[in-house]
Amino acid sequence: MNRLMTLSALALLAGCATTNTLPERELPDGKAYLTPIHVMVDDPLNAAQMRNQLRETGVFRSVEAGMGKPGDYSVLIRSNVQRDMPPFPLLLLSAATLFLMPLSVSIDTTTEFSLQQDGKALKQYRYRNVTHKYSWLLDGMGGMQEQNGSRIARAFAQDVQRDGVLPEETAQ
Amino acid sequence: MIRISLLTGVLLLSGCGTALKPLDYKAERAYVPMSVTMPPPASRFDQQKQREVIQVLRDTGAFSFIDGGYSKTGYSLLVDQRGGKGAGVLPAVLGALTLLTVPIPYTYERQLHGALYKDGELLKSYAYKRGGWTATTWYIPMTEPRSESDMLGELMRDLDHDRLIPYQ
Repeated sequence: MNRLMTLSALALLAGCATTNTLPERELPDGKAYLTPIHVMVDDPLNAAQMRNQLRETGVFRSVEAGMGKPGDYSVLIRSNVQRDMPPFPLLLLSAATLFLMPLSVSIDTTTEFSLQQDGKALKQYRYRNVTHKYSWLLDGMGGMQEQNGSRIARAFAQDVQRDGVLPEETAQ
Repeated sequence: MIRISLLTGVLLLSGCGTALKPLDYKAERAYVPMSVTMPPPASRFDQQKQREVIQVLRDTGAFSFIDGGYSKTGYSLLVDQRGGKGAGVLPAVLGALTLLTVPIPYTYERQLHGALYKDGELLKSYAYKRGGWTATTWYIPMTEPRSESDMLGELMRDLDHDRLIPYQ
């Protein structure tokens, strides 16, 4: 009996871990900031979150909204988000068991970043991240979308830093 | 018996549809990238409604790129659907108790405020209002969502007519 309980507890804990297809990127400390960027996101309801995630990477001097003045660097972001929920009968079944039955949920995001200066495209980046988890009563879906977007933002920040397309800000 | 209950189920669900109808406006040219801002949603329901509004605006083809938030440079459109009134507590409770079978009439009023900014400066503001009678039943089509899309369509036509936003 004890063994069974331990086993099911282990399965629940391990099975409920969130998985991402895009690996977590390490952003090195102690590097100079990159020049400020103006970020436009083609999704008004998630634009603020996206900009904040780029700010959190700590790679850019500042991340501002809008088009920017001539000469400024701007980033246009387009995302395609697909949410995958289990079929409705399964949702009902989970509700009937008071959400003790785990449900498989996933968010599949493809994001395109277009780095521009004065309307001229400098470089394009494209990332896809599929975040998947089994959610149940004590472990909801909260934070999944954040994790999904934050990995993409970090991947973009690391690639931009590595490519050297944006000039580094000189220490003041 | 099963067929009847299925039919009533379908009728109930489709009669009570609150989804926004597509706007009766199609743009010929798209505006330059700009932002569309809405007041912070108060509930999950609000959030869902805002998502629908963005989708119907996108479907008109008037926007090439819709960003969110205010910015120091560029154009932004504030879309505010707050204000107005719907069914009060009494019709809603009575409607729920009678499972929306007894028509309880009520008046409603819907508002839409639009404000167009350029570089943070107000260029022009727009205000629309719709109201009328309806009843809390599933067999009378809801007029409220239709008046919302009506007003959004009118806002889009007025924006097109005023030509304040440059085209791409």
